[in-house]
Amino acid sequence: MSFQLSYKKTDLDLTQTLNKPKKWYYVAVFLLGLGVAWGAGSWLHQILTGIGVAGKNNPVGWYLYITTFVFWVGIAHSGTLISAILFLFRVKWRASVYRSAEAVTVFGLATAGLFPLLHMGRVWVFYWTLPYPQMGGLFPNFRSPLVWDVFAITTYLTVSSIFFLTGMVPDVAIIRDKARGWRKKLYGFLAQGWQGTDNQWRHYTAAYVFLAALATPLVISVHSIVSWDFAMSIVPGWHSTIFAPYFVSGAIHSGLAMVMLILIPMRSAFRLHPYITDHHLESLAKFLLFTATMVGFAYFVEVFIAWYSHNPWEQAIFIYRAFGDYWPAFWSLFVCNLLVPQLFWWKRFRRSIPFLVFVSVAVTIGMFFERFVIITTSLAHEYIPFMWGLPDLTFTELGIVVGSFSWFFFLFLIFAKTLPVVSMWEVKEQLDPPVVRKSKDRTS
Amino acid sequence: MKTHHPPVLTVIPPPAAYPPKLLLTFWIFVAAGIAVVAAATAGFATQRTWISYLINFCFWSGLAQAGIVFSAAYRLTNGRWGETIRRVAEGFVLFIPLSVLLFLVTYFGRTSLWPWITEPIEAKAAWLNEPFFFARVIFYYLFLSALSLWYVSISIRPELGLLKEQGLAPESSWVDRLTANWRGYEAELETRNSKLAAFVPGILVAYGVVYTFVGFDVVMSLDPHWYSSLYGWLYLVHAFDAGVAGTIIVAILSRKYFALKDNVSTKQFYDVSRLLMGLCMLAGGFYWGQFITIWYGNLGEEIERILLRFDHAPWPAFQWAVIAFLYFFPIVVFLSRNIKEKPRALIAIASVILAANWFYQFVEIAPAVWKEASVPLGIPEIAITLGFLGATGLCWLAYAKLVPLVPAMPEKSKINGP
Repeated sequence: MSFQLSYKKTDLDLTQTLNKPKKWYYVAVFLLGLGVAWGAGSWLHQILTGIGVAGKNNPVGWYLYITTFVFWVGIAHSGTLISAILFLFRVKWRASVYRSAEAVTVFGLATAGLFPLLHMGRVWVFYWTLPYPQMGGLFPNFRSPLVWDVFAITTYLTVSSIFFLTGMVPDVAIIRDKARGWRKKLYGFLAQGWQGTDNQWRHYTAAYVFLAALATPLVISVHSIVSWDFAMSIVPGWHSTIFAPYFVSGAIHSGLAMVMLILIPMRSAFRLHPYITDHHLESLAKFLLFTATMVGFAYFVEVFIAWYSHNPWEQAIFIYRAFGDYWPAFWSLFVCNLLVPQLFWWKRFRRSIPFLVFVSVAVTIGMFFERFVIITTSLAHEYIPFMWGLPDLTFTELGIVVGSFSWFFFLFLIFAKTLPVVSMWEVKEQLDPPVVRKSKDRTS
Repeated sequence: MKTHHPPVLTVIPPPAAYPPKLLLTFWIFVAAGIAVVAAATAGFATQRTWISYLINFCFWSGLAQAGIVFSAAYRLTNGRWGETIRRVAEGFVLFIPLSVLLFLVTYFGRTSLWPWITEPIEAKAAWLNEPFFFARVIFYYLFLSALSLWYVSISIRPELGLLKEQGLAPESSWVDRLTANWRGYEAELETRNSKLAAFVPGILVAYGVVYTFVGFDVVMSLDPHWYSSLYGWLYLVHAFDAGVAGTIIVAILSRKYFALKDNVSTKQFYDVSRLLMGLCMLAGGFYWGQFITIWYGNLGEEIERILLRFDHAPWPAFQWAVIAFLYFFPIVVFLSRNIKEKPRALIAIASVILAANWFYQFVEIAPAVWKEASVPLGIPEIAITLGFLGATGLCWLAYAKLVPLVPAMPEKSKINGP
């Protein structure tokens, strides 16, 4: 990218995203707002009527809410992982994509965090889940993976947010210097007194490495713990040792797809082609191919071990998944998550924007199905026929799921007009310094 | 107008002779190992010997294969930081075809190792039956041998050809075969990059699939009623970990014995140490993921395997040592940047990690088969281990005598490039 760009042009191009929005932006915000309103209305309906309006029942106590929760936690995993791991591996193409990826993490978690509240029904007593001494004796069970989950996700949200905000300090300082009024105050607060001195840069880069090193194992541990919500039980189809790496690779898989789904329209809308190039998208596509292969192989291993184990319940659940009530979802997840991304073995598909979008949409749908199949089928078809049963899909539940997608993209739109979506300082790091450019110009 | 002169390419030829004592030592090790295995085949101390043989087979074949995978992963990720270390890792390639033969030797000890051979399990007979088992495991190793040899032959060809062009190549018919139809360094480099761009992802996928099943078949089936869907990946990650630790040790020793001090810098050690630390953390994470799931589920058919290793003498000491030295020790010592850059400290740390990896295989294999109260470790086991070490060392030296360990020029790999 360096042959076309300069420091000044980079600053101009990447701050123009914060200019007054165009018409499409307002239309998009309005439509997403409608989706959010549908979700909020559905939740209100559930609060006023009771949790019975959701489709979950006995035996399928975990249904769409938990499916969507796991889905969004998964989406949230790619951002910090892409950012931190690629930073530690000194991958240069990271500079153009990591800011948006980290935003996906923060907003993904902000969306996922709603679902435990939605799932519990009587949300006004959510504080009963907190560990405080009280008369009812309802002190949380710290041996429960659900409690581990709370701590893991809270920690992850904290570290991811710090990582996200720290990464943009030098950029926000540039905006602060040009801003006026309340914006100057906001950016001034976010810039944390940044002046770009040598001393600040020294501390800043050291802190950033430290945060990246901290975030990497954290991101892996968090989705491992989410997987243990299931694997610690002895429910057939859930109790599997491979769940932790399988969930982590699935999370990165879905997150990468979501990052591409965000980057591609954003690149066109803000004309960021010199910064988010086809090479960047191709690199993400290769990464997606890698995770697709890993996830697909994990599916295969699970089926193989169910067969090898000769455990009748394990075998029964996999037969049920493939040929039972939800067989379309089961086979769809194989097609969407494993087979469709194999197109990326060919360069022309990795370089084709329509195909990148197609594969990303397919993976997003496939990963939702994957969570759905794991969660719903195992509960619907446990050990003995007495325990079998199917949930109902209700309009309320559907509204909340649609609302969650709208909420996520709504947050992203707000972010895109408030903060720089591509890291200016890291893009500039890859350019020739201005002094060198001038001397080159003179000699030529 | 500027005239473009192509850079003068230099390549350091392999050494004319091995360090003589090293060569002799490796041969003595091999002889000792062969003697013990021959004695076992003749009926002396059979089971202990076969247990040790299988541990060493898994450990050394995994280490050798990991060297190739390290190199392939380095190329796939457009690595630039450690060309010589990558070459050192490729040096384990000759042990991989040898491991096919070494696995065939386990046929003589099969009844001492895999219980389902003497007492077939009807329900699992479709997978766990003797002909199919040996056929597929031999296929695994043959397949990976072919891929690895092909990969390394493509990888070393430009430098080897350049060496021959400059009249510095060692006298060997292999050099002629590997550089047949030579078209000049630049053209060969181009061809290599385009071939490997297509080939490298394939070798990594093949490794992932094959080593997962090596773990299931060769080790997990020692306890045929027990199963864990993560076991294959656990086996793979530990093998890769051992491979990187082994590569570090050989790279440091190469600085001394092959005068590569200027080509393997402290910066490279820093990077490869971080990789090793990450792999130890990953291995520990996988181990914990398997352990916690089984411990929490507390199902009889699963938990027994854990209880055997944590609660029944003589295994807990070894199990805890593995956890301490393979998963925690690297995290603690590698926190220091200085240590990562000091070859002497690094060789000691890598040796500890390598030994811990050996004991990992020991704790995975021995308790499943050895039902006595004693520890199956003694002089015969040491001899077998040294035998495998010697064989690996000889294979690596054979490679190092043929192939330049330092690339001719900083390579601009085009794999995955824009």
